[in-house]
Amino acid sequence: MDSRKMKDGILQGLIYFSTAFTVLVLVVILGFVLYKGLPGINLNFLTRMWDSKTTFVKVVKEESVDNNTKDGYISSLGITIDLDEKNKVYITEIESESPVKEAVNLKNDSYPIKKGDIITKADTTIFENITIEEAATALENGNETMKLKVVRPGGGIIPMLVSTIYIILLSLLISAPIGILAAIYLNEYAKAGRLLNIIRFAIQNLAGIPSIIYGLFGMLVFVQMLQMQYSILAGALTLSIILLPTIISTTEEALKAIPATYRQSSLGLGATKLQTNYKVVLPNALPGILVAIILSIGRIVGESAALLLTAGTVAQIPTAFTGNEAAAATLTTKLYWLIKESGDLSGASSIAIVLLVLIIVLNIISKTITKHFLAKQGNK
Amino acid sequence: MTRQVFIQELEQLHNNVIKMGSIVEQSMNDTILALENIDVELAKKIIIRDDEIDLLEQNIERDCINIIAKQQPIASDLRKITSIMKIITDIERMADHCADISEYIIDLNKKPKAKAPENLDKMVTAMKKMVIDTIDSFVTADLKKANNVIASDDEVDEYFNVIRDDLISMMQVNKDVIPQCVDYLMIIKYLERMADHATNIAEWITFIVTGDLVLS
Amino acid sequence: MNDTVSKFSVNDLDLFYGSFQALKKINMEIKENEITAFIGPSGCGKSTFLKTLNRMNDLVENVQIGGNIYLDGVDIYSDIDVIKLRSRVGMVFQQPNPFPMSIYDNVAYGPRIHGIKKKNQLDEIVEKSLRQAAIWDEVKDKLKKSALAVSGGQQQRVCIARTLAVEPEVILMDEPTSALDPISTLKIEDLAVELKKDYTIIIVTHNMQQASRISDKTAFFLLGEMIEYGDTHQIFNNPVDKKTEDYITGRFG
Repeated sequence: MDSRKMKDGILQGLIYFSTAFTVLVLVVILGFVLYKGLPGINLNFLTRMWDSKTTFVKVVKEESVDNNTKDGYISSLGITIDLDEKNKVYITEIESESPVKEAVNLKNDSYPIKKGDIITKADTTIFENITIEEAATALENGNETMKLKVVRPGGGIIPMLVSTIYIILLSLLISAPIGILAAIYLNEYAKAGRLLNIIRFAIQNLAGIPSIIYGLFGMLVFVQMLQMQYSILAGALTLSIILLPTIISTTEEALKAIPATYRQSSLGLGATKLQTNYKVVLPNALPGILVAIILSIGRIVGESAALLLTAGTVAQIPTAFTGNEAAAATLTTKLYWLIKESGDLSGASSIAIVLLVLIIVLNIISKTITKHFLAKQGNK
Repeated sequence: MTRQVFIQELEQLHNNVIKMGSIVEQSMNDTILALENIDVELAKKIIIRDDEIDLLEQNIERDCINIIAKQQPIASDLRKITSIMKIITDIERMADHCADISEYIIDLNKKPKAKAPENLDKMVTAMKKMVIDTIDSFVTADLKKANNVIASDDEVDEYFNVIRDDLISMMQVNKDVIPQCVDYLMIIKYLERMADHATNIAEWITFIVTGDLVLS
Repeated sequence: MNDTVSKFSVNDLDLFYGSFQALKKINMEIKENEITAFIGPSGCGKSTFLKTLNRMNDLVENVQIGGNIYLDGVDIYSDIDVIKLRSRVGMVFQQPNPFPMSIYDNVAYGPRIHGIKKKNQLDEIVEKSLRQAAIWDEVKDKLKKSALAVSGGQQQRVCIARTLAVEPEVILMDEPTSALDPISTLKIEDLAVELKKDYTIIIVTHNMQQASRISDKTAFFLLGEMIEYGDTHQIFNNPVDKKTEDYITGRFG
């Protein structure tokens, strides 16, 4: 064997090894996450709120049909109860015309009781170390307008899932139009020269700044100066700034790839520059723009540092843009928080799996949209 | 310079035409000699040589068509090639006329010797100059010489009329020489025709050089 | 030469790219309902000159123009809106470049940007333009298909239809067949000859046979100058200038 062959062999071996190593690492990480997280994933995990919530409700009972209390069926409330593993009384079934659906809280707001809710007190009876029969009797024989203390159990990720999607939508709503328009300006209108080069250089450098610095900026400006507090708007605005360089440069690449003859043809037909950009340039850049948006979604979903400092870590479904009601933890920030605060590795892994699935789903959706547009244009 | 093959083919064509022209010039000189001396042997040679010229004409014609098909000549190139196709016809006709005159020389030799008409040598000289000038003007694309040729045609025509009148009076005077005189009449007609062909060629040369079609 | 009307009059046209002079004192009368061909070696300025006629050179930076170009007597660089000019003077490019949309949308593009929205009106224009471009029969069943799905020659005729749909008076063609096969080329040539009844056509071509086959007038450009301009049969039989002769007979460089 001559030395050239040997060199060849060694190099080839190195290449194979590197590839195998990468794949192995990936498999190990995925395997670990799946192994740790998969057991924690169930319907409750995916549909419940994060924190359990205790509420006092009032229920107007119906005429009792029979007094038979076997199997935990309470005919005056139209519900069936049972004991869980911690001997707590919880609702296993609710009839379709049950009065508990009409339940109101102490402010007289509607608060329908749901399957799985735990009853800890009925009128004056505290449900602790109690049998089913005792509980059923207490419920059946209670006041006409019954006061119940209901605990809705938590442990689910719905708030983070919703917050994540809110932040994705809000960030894109802000950054995509600005980024795309800026890219159009830079590529179609700006005159080539020193100034343009400086702007491009600045944009490229902005993309490289660590997101924690953006987070700091967002906290100072949006959270404190503009008094948005930890909120989805502050978070989304900060993320928008992070996303802009990527969106601008990716869109610009897409615009550059459009043949100049398309523009010339359009202008040659008597179109204005605006018409040309709107009707020919932009539709053709769409696949590229969608790539920018996919990248952005990935960035948003993966972002933790900047959001910790701007959107907070409260596990709630935000109901406002700013203020206390708007604080929101995304899946990623919650994941970070979970490990840091409680060291709950398996819970974190479960969230990680949901994140992975979310990313995959979003990518598939974007790809489908891109394909649809390409098919429409005919350059499949 | 681009189109080397094409240029070579054009040069080849040009040289072939000159070659054909010089063979006809040779035939013409021989015809003049044979006519002076009523030389039967020389006349026979001229008749045989006519076949050679016919063959050359065919070759040049084929080359022209090939060049047109393969090279798509335009402008001066196209003028040159189309003109050559016309010119070679005229040259070939001139060679035919040399052969025709040679036939009459052979015929004259069989008859009692008669005096050649006066001015015949002058007509021959004028016609000879025209043919030589024509070939020269083709070789050098000399417009002035070509124009001289066209102008000289009238001179030859004039000689033809004079000699024809002479022959008529000779025949009126002496009935015995009528057969010989008729032969001479045919010969001067052919000489006059050769001058016409030379004129045609000169006109095509003018077209090659200027692009103007001279209608005669 | 005065039996037809001048569509374009060009007076002492100079054109500079920065400090480089691409066109030098061009003077020319282009006749209506004729095909005028511009020939000359690459970089001679013929395409540049063509583009000045509908001001496509405006798109290039650092272009300076001197002299005047008149379209029907109106100075196109001062007295007419460039958008309006381009809808009167259409252009067909070297590469067939339909937009990546359906054949119908390609042809309807021009009318749409000029404000025609009614479906039946657009249908009419699309059919008429495609018929004029001699491609209706080939594409009538696939109007909704992408224009990129048909052959190169068909694409170029779709592009011509797209230009015709704006109802221009003049059609500029910048080497319209240089990317096409010989048969497609001949179809485009036939089309040009057919179209000159209704339009004034100016064509830039590297194909001298093409210029001689279809044009009425030919202009020869060299190094930014118009060397010779005249009837096509005169240029191709007996050009006046030695440079023209050398170029068209292929004895160049």
